[in-house]
Amino acid sequence: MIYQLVKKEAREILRDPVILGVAIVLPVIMLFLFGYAISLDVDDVSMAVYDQDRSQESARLIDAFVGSGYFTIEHYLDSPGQVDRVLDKGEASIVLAVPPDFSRDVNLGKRTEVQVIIDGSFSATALIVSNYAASVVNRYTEDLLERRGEAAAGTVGINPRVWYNPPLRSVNYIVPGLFAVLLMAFPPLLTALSIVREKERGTIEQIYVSPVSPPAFIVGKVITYGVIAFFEMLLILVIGTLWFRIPFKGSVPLLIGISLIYVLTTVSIGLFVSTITRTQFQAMFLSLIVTLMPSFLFSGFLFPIATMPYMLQLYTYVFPARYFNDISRDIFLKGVGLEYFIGNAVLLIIYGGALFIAASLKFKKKVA
Amino acid sequence: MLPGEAVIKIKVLSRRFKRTWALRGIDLEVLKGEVFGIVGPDGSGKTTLMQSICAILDPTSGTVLVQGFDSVSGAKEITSMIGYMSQAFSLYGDLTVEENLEFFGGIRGIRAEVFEKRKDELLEFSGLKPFLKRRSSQLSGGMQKKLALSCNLMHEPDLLVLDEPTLGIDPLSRRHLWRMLKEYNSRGKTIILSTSYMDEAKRCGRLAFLLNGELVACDRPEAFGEDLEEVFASRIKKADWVRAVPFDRKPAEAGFVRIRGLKKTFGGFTAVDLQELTVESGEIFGLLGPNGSGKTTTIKVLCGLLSPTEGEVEVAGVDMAKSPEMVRGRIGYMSQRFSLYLDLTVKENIDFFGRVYGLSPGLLDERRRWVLDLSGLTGFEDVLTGELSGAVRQRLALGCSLLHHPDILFLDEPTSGIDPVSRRAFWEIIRLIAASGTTVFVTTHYISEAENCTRVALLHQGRILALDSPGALKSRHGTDSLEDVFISVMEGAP
Repeated sequence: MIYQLVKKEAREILRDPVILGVAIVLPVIMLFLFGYAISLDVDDVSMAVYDQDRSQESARLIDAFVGSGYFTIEHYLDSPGQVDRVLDKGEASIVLAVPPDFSRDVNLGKRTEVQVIIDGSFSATALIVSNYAASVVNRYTEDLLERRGEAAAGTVGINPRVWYNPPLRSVNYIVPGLFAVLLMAFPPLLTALSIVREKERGTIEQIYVSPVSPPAFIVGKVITYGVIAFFEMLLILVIGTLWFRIPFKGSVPLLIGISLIYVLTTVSIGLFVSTITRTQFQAMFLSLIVTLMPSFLFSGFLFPIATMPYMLQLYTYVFPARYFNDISRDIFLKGVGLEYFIGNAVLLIIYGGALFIAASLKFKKKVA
Repeated sequence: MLPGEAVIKIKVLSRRFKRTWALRGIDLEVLKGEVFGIVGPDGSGKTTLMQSICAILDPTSGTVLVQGFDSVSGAKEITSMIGYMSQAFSLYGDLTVEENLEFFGGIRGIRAEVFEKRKDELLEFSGLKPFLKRRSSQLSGGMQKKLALSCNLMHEPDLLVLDEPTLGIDPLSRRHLWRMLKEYNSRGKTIILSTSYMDEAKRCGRLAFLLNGELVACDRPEAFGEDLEEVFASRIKKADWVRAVPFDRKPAEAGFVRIRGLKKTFGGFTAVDLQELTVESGEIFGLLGPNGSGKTTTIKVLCGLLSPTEGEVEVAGVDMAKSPEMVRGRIGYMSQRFSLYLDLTVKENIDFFGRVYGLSPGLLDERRRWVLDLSGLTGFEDVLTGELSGAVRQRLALGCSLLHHPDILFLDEPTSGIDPVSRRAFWEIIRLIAASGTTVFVTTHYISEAENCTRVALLHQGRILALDSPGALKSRHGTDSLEDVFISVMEGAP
């Protein structure tokens, strides 16, 4: 019986170009849009230098910035007032201020500090710029130690280093995150629409007056749309690794296994939406609100959860995209095994199972 | 017919939707082997009753027993032994004829060898064999209904429940469908159906007449009297009837329509192909045909909502190819779906349409009173339109389409889904409007309504099969029923 339902569903989908388009083409378009458009990478950062030392050592430090390839020096400043001005006008997004006794302290082997002032109006890029600057200063220090030997130890302060994504290519974490978003956006939408469409057209009444049980009907939908979502996932995986050259460090079977659980969860959200809506318009609206929007905002896809207020951090646990986003990045970028994210995986299974049962119970074979 | 045991026992069944009672205290028994008809005006509870019998709607109070199973606790048993055809298109449009049969056979758990045999029988029986590979959405309305019925006969249910199975399909298909039903019934199977065609009501073994959710009468059709429609009309409150509201306007000079070589195609499909058609001022011109014959497309072209693929169309002196927007102020249009805003009140709807047509405040006041009078809604100005009954809403929509006193009034299936009595009342208004000199161009799939027209065109698959006054058509074919004319014309068509 489930076989009959799946066969019917598959035939309908294969003959409806719109469904196929939403299922396959739209996710690919989104993947390319996000892969290229949302880039948090920074290069050619405009830089101003306020060198109060004007020595050979300060010139070396400035060279280190230019030589890194990330920074372009636009201005040399003479007074603290000019520092404010270039930042206010946006003529530079970073100012390097070298203190007057910089070379003296370095030569004496004393610890000194250079000041880096960053335009923080867009915090995400500011963080990256600051990391770049820190790594430049670090490199300069290492170079200094080499030239001077251990005698001149402890010169310029050490800042946090960047792990997991050394070149800081943002596409490397956008695409694994996009996994969570795309699988959340389309499969539930398609599932919800397919059931509500039957309600609108009246075919569902034929299901009601047949021996098909609610779980059988729902399993029929889950299998069909689960398979579509699975293809979507493979597509993103292949394009992500081959086209965008995302380094894939983890195990493919593990990712596929976890993705299947995630897909069943997202499809179950669609099922649940379909049980509480009557028209395709309502279903579409509701599924976008409960899936696409939160998976953008609260999954950690673009906005790091750790920087959210505590209450919002708790709120993010409502959305399964959050669990999967972590898992996906763990497998992709860190290449870690199941034991590292077993907690998230269990939460996903519970989440999906509960939704599926709720949808089955809510689906009554009655017209009102 | 042999008196069998009761298949269905309904005891004091009531069903409420929010604050309204759709069914109240129904007591009813249906016997094995009966063809049991349910009739009643729009909104009288026919569909609710049938859904309750099919166990897909729980009673608010009372019980429904189908072959001894309770519709709440034994819903599973009931649904597995009945067949039910709702009013809606109940097929999967993207699946072919064969695939639909396969699906409905499959979910009923029919074994492959039995399936093949039944499929062949049903295809033979319904005449659908040549269309095996065609998608069901591309079948004509009549064929769709025959396929939907076949899908429900797949598992040979003992009880068949059909909600208005013949609504809006052509007379020939209607005849075929009845032949199928009679044959199935002759095997001792029970059939319950609702209908708004009185000739069909007469063919039932017994009839239940519902009014406002109550069972008013239940008896053999003969016991009701000779003219069923008249009998039912006399039972329905007079308040629902039309009042003679004078419609004063200057006779239109140019309320004519001229069509030459009109063709409208959608992709490869020709929806309308009209060689020549002229409608003179002051006519009530009826365009008759089953669902999907091209009536709505024709009207939409005439109103400038669709542009013709080829051909010349002139409406009220305006060439539709050149300046379709010029015609807007000269015509009134009422579509088959109510064009009113259901979440606005009666007055708000009238005022909205009045302003759209640019009526001055003084004129709007005067015309509003007229529309309220016409629809019997004086004193109900602040009621939400969605709360009105279908028939009253239709009259309000008609009033709104006449606010600007158009030269031609286009009515697209104005009486679809309305009971026979309200239909009759509606036609009295149409005659009134035409008497004032307004040309009325109306489509309908109720062939009997065409008697009210000065001339009718029989439309089938986008072409006019016959065109004349009803009297002339009937005498030419030697019959007193327009439906017979249609059938003989269709049988003669290629």
